[in-house]
Amino acid sequence: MVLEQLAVNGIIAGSEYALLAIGLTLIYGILRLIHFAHGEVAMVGAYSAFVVSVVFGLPLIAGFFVAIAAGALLGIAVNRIAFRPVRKQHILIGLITAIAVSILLQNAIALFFGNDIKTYNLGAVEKGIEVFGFIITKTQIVIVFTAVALMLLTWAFIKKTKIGQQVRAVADNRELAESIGIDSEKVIACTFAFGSALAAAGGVLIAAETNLAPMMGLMPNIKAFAAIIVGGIGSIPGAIFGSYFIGLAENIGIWFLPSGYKDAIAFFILVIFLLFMPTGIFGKKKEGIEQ
Amino acid sequence: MIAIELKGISKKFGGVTALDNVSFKLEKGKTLGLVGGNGSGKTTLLNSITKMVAPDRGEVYFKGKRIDKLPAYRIARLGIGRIFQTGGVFKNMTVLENLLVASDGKRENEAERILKEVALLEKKGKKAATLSGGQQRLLEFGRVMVRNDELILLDEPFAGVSAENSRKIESVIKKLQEEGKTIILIEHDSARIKRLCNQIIELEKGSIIRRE
Amino acid sequence: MIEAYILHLLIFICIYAILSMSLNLITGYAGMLNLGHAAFFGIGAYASVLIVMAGFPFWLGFIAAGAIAAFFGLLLSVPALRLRGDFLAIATLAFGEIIRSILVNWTEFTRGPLGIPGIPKPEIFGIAFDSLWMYFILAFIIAAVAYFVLRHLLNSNFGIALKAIRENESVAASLGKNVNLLKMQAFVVGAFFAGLAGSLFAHYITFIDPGTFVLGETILMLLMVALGGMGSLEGSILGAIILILLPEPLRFIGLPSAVVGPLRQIIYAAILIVLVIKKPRGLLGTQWFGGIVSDSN
Repeated sequence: MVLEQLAVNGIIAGSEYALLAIGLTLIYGILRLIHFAHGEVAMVGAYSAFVVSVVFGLPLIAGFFVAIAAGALLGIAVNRIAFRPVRKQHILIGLITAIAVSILLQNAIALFFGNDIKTYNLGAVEKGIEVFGFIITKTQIVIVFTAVALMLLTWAFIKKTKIGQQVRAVADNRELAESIGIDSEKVIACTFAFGSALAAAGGVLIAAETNLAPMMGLMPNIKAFAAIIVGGIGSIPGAIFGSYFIGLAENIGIWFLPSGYKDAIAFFILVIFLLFMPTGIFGKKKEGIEQ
Repeated sequence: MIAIELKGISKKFGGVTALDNVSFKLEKGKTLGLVGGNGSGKTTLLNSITKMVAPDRGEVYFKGKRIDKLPAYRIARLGIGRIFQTGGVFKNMTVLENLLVASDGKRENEAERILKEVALLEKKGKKAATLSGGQQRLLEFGRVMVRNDELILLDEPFAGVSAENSRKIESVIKKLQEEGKTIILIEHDSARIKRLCNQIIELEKGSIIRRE
Repeated sequence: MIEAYILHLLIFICIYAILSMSLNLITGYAGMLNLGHAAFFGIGAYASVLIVMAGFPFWLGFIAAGAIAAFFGLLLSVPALRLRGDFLAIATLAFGEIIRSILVNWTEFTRGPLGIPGIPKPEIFGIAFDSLWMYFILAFIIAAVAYFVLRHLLNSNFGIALKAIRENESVAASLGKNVNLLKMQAFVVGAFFAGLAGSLFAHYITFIDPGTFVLGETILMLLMVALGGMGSLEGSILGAIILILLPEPLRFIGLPSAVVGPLRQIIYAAILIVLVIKKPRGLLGTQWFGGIVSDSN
């Protein structure tokens, strides 16, 4: 029974990671850039919702939508300020600026809100309800359903919209896409906006389940990265699969290991996949890997 | 003595055949001209010898010893040097460093003597990026000379090079020939091929279609 | 008082100069972005402390700190042989986090997040390095030795070969360079010196905990390397001096420590971004990662 409960926790964690992983894999697909500050975009999203719901006293759902808008704008700004100027340079330069942006955002938030832990004041500690024999809180149910709804939205965006089509075209071959008249910089900006909005939504969900802190985005983002490596980099279904894989592995893993090693499990999986299965489970292309 | 021998080398990239069952022998001290259109497999052939790509099938022998299972750096250490079509110099390193990196422990004055031979001595402290295309090619020749390679693979050494530097490169090649080096030369100019080569192989779509 | 403060800063500069020089060997010279360097620093610190506190002499703990860190450098060089660029960077980051996780959780050995207090000051063959002056002399000598050893290595064929593989691996291989072996050596030597710095740090501060050896620390070292210039040892020393001294004025303008901490990090991050965009060669260095190339070729 405990094991099944751990699996339920894994699915909740996986839903949260997936919202970060989708943006991460889209941005990697289009720019070959590991957006290291993506977790901080989620964190800023969570704090935007905090301002709306706790400081101004509006319902959290309003905060959620503000967070999505704030995330999209932040995504565009980060791209414009930190990534576009180094676009033509070595990929590692982009990774370094991403890390710098990550530190900048963490500490800017720490400066304004302090380093202490905050919550959305969702009332007294929720009592879990029993669904098919598992203990799960209402917040957690909302998290899973919201995440799944956003995944379906992503699918519609990528497959059904014109801009989604252009995103796929630029990811496939940027020069070719430009030669048929696609404005690749615009497409890149849209990708950042869309992926960052999802990350911000994920940030709100993570904060609703646990709490807010300036460092809250770092670990989920690295786990989202592990997820996209597991699923095959550049693939959205792969990112979602990988997220649930990592969520389940780290939660079920602590059945066997001290719970302090929860984070290390994800890192271990990351290294193993990088070394032995770098194309992931669904990936086709060998990106950044020696042949 | 046979310097280099290829037996049935084949290589596909995805579904595209780059080399199809290519075999030839080249005697020590001879120069082989490799001709053919773009995409005919010439560069892939050189890459298969130095293991920059691993052939799918076939065997490569250097002085009678099979080498196609060795890693690239071990093949290079046997005395096989090459000059690349593009990007063969370390642009952010100095001209002198570009030679020293090839020489494992040789003295600077040895490197300077060779820089003089390829007419680059006055550039020795300059970054290789500041050299013209032809000078970069000459620097690569200098590296081959420092290493004293026995088999030298030249991938279009005259492409995009001024007339003056082309003359210098040609005289360097002739000097290498006089020293008894074995050379494989990819080149489009048929007059130059006639001047420099003892044998000619023409490739088309990865197959040998003509031998002279 | 002033003297003590200045000596304290000088000791830190020596320790961080060793760290930034050793990271420069791996990242600046060999071109492999290592986001796990703080782990080598931490491994050295813990190794030295545990050995010395088990009753062995300082010099043994000090050497072991380097040797054990070097062993982990050898381990980390395995991914370095298989992965390129950003994937390697993430693998080194994961390595750093795994090491931190072990330091936190292996409580029988490390006391976990409580850390290890009461670390003795070093004593080498009867000479006690327990005053600030003595410790500064020790740190300075070790930093100077590290500099001369690395300088000598980098001036040799080894250094030129490292530069060559940073520029273009396949051309380097075509000249007979064993690219894998060179990368391994860079990692091992870099980790060795970071381990020595860890020992020097632990016995100076006399308290260590896993929270010291985190990604933020690696970023600080990376910033020192970037500021001074990739591929310049002297630049790394300069970078360490500037970045240790730079945040100090913040202390004197009476800001609360809850502000100084984040502000310092913001300054570091902002410098890094401006540097990368406006002055990618740093103060004394060469082009990063073999210059402007769009992919790993």
